[in-house]
Amino acid sequence: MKKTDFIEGLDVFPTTRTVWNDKNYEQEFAPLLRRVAGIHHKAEYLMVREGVRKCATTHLSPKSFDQMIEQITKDGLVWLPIQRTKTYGGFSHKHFPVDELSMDTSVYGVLARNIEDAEAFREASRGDKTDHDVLGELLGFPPCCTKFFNEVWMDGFYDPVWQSAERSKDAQIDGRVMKLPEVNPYTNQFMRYIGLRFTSHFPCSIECEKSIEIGKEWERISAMVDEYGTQKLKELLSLSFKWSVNHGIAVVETKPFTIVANSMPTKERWEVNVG
Amino acid sequence: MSGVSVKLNNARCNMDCLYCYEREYREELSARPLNVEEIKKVMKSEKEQTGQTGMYLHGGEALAAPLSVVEDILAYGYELFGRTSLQTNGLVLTEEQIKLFKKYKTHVGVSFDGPWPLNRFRISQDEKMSKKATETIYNNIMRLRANGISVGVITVLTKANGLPAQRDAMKKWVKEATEIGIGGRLNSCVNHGPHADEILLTEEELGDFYADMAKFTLTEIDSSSWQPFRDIVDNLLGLQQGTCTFAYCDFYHAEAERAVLSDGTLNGCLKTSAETGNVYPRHLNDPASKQWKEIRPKILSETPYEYGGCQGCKYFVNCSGSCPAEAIDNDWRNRTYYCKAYYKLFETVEKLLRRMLPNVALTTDVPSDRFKGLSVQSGGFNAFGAILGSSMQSTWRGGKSQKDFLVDRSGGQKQQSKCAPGEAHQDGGRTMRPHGDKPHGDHTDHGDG
Repeated sequence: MKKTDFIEGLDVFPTTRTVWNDKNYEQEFAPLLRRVAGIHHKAEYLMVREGVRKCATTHLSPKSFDQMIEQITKDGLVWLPIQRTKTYGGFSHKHFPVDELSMDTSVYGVLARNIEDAEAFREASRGDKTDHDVLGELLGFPPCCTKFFNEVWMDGFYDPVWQSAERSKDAQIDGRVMKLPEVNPYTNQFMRYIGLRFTSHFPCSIECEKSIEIGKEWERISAMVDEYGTQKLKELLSLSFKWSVNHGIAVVETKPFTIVANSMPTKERWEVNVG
Repeated sequence: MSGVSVKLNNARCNMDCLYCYEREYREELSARPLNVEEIKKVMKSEKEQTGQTGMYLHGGEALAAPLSVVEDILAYGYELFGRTSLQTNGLVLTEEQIKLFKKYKTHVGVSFDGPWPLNRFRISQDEKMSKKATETIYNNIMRLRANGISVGVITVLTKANGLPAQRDAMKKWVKEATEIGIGGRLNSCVNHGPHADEILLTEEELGDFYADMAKFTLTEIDSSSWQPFRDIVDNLLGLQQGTCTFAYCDFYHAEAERAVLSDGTLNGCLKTSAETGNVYPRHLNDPASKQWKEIRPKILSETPYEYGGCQGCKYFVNCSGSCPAEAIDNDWRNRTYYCKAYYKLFETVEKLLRRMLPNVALTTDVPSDRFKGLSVQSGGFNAFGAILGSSMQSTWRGGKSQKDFLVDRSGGQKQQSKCAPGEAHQDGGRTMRPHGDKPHGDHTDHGDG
């Protein structure tokens, strides 16, 4: 996949949706997905509090900032603001800066265990001086994945699941169609549009050993949030699925549900079949 | 007609049409139990909560259900709406059924691709049986009309009835049907199955058919009820988007068909299930669906033609990329694989309108961004505004076309119409139908007879 495979100017607004493939699946999976999808966000906080990561990014909303500030303070953590942004529903690869805060805005910022790390993160996040190597180190990303991010994401592939998958030794690629026997649940980012993921970083490859190690740490911390939910998360991330992107929309089809989200504006359909 | 589609038999059918899109999921879907009370609850909710104005039995084959069940639902539909409707393959028709249709003012839509051999893809692959069944269905259509029942037909266009060699026979049938008060829909075929190459017309072949039949039905026979041709007239005039084929559609919540299965489960148009067999549940009012209806038109309007989009198409507002279930490569993110056919259809009807009414304004006369909702009803468009607003009040006198008027006096149309973009027109006391309430293209409307 190259940048010339994109339609210039097509940018679908952030949006995410879960479609049930049958009413019975809706009854079975809707409560489960609601439960599981909230784990990552809570685990991300705990990853900092428990000392697994130095920093995490988090949004504070005017609707709940009071509760968040209390929790951060009681846990002895710090939070620094970086960017005021409009609230969006779904999956986004960018912020939508605003000057004034209102109830449909939030503040993107950094959570850390100490002010030095928070300041370092904020400094490395500034506008055109963004230093992704520093950010990656503070967020606990493997250097290989930070390098991948710098190369791929920074080149405009802001939903680089194809790029991550094509580095697998098991990938069979025929033009724009890829087949994989499986994806390790710790490196599976294909369903992150609805919050199903372990790690917060994009693995350089779905076989990245460092990412799998970090994924296991996420699993351990996630279990502190919700042990049963974490077990179910692992099962969901082990489902067979078909991911495709076409004209700015990604579709992930599993047996019980289909995820639809904004993604990269490819001219043609690209497809990854897993399982 | 906007209405509830009741599938008493789900996809169960006593025929096995070669192109049927229900083949993929027929067995699994049809295993559902029948719960008449749940169906009635849904019918009532649809009327009260979503403003549906009618109901129709659909299938599978609706009349394969026990007569007592058919009567129960028709009676309830009649009580709710004052009329009823159904779609059948017409293979089995009893006197008892005809009595019910009279009693409950039932409009009967028959799925029929024309007299033999035009109908040869219906029934089964056994030619002898198919021929005999075609004759039976034809005779049943005549019986219905002889009994004063309102009848419409759904004809699916394939290589069996849509090619030039079959045109005279098709015209003969359409003329004959028209003369006994039958109208209907000549629909494109949705099929992604193993027989697709054998069955499907190419977009050029379908375009040739539509262009020819548009002229035939609009100018050569005394008919006002063959679709999509009449819909295209209204569409180009900015009056109605027309059948769901040309309207926004949320692939996963295709509520143009507000279907209810035998167990009371709500779902949308099952054409979207043709490839995967997934039966996406529908909710009575899904606030997210409006946003999702708009996504496909958005991406298609910004995607170049060579990559499966509609960028720059003159008829984009009129067509919306067409039905997502007939999208290129069966991917709803692409436009229809019948693009050239619909283009030719719109082009043909546009020419007819311009020749007949040279001063009329068509939706193609104004920039597409005028239509904020990307549908013909969203632009506050008034096709006759300038004609009626001029001292000449002529469809042709004056020498200046309405198009010139629009170009010369941008905003002139806005002064004629007092509607803001996206608002309903108030035109002679008639309020335009809101979006999302399109007639379903797999069912014929009342009033055909």
